[in-house]
Amino acid sequence: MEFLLSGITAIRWEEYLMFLIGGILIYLAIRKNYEPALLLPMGFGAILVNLPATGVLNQTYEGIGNVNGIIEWLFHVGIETSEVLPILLFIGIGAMIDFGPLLSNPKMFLFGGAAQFGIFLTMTLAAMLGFNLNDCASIGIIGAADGPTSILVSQVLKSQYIGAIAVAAYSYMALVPIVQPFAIKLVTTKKERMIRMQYNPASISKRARILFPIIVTVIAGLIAPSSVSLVGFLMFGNLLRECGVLNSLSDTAQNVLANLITLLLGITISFSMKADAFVNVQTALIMGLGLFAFVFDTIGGVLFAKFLNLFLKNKINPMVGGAGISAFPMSARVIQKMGIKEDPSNHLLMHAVGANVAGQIGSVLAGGIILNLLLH
Amino acid sequence: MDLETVFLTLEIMWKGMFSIFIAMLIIAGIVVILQKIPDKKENK
Repeated sequence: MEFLLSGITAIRWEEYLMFLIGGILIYLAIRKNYEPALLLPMGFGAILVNLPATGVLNQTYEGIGNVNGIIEWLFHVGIETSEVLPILLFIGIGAMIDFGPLLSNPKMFLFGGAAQFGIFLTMTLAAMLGFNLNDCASIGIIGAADGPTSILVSQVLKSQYIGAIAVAAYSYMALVPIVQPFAIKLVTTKKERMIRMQYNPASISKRARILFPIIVTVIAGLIAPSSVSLVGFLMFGNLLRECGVLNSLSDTAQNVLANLITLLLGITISFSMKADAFVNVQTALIMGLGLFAFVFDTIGGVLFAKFLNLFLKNKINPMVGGAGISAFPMSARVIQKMGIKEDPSNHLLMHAVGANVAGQIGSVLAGGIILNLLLH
Repeated sequence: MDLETVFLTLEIMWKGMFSIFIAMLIIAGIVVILQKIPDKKENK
């Protein structure tokens, strides 16, 4: 009977904890609808990789030798070797984005930049807590509020905390409706939250929409060459959408490709959720640092808007600055809701959408710039 | 805590934020120019 019980007796308390964490992620995905496309596969994968002598990881058997496990193979091919999974996902994300509200209101670009402040501040805090530089950058990039960027940067920098970073990034993206209002109210007054903004969008031609992704790729590539894989594939997806002659490819990118990659990415990331790597004090610190990053992203965008208001005649509602994080479209909806709560006739949605879309570019640029600064 | 790493992150902070702002300013400026591009006129 020993052969039946050997699996159960081999489980340590750390693996039981990972089963619980996997179950919590699955619960949050299904019952609370927190980023289910990623949290459910990650939760299930956490259970798979923590079963003793699991066949989803590489194992060495006496008399047979090394046998590859599917999740370890997916991680090696899809993330470790070339970061292909997150980069291909960017094609789908780019194809989904409508840059119209941003192109017709270009001052929102500045908030897409300001709201990346939390990334860098978190890097410094992580350094104070004793993490090495590559891990500081990988943890800070949680503040990009963009799963593929977080996974890619932490993989290129060979961070040992990629599992915790991915869980933190996707969890806090889902918690934006709770985190952002708290952060915004810390640094704004009711009077500031009631500022009304006129929306007078410029019209954007089809030619402009086609030229935009090409120009952004070139500029990003000149300023931060390491960002080209991220920015380039995001803009490639957008060009597929805007060119008007590749509707079937755009449709495929937005739906089939994005869903396929998302399906594989979550379960692949669970490779880094083995108990030995995940159950430690550093994981708890990373969860706290991730929250810090999101809070200070929001505060950075809001304070920048308040700074600009010192010089502007037509004031900007500072909450719009907070929409400059990359959590699209959740953050824009949060700002619209907060605006209406203060004044039911104050609709900030289109301004917030512009800032939110700028945040998509800002976060990807931030990831590329960090890689550029650390690798060169 | 390694002070050298802390100072390095501060250096990355100012370089990183500055680079992002410059990139966003350049892109915003180009977008203002792109706004002036009309759509191609349809042949009658």
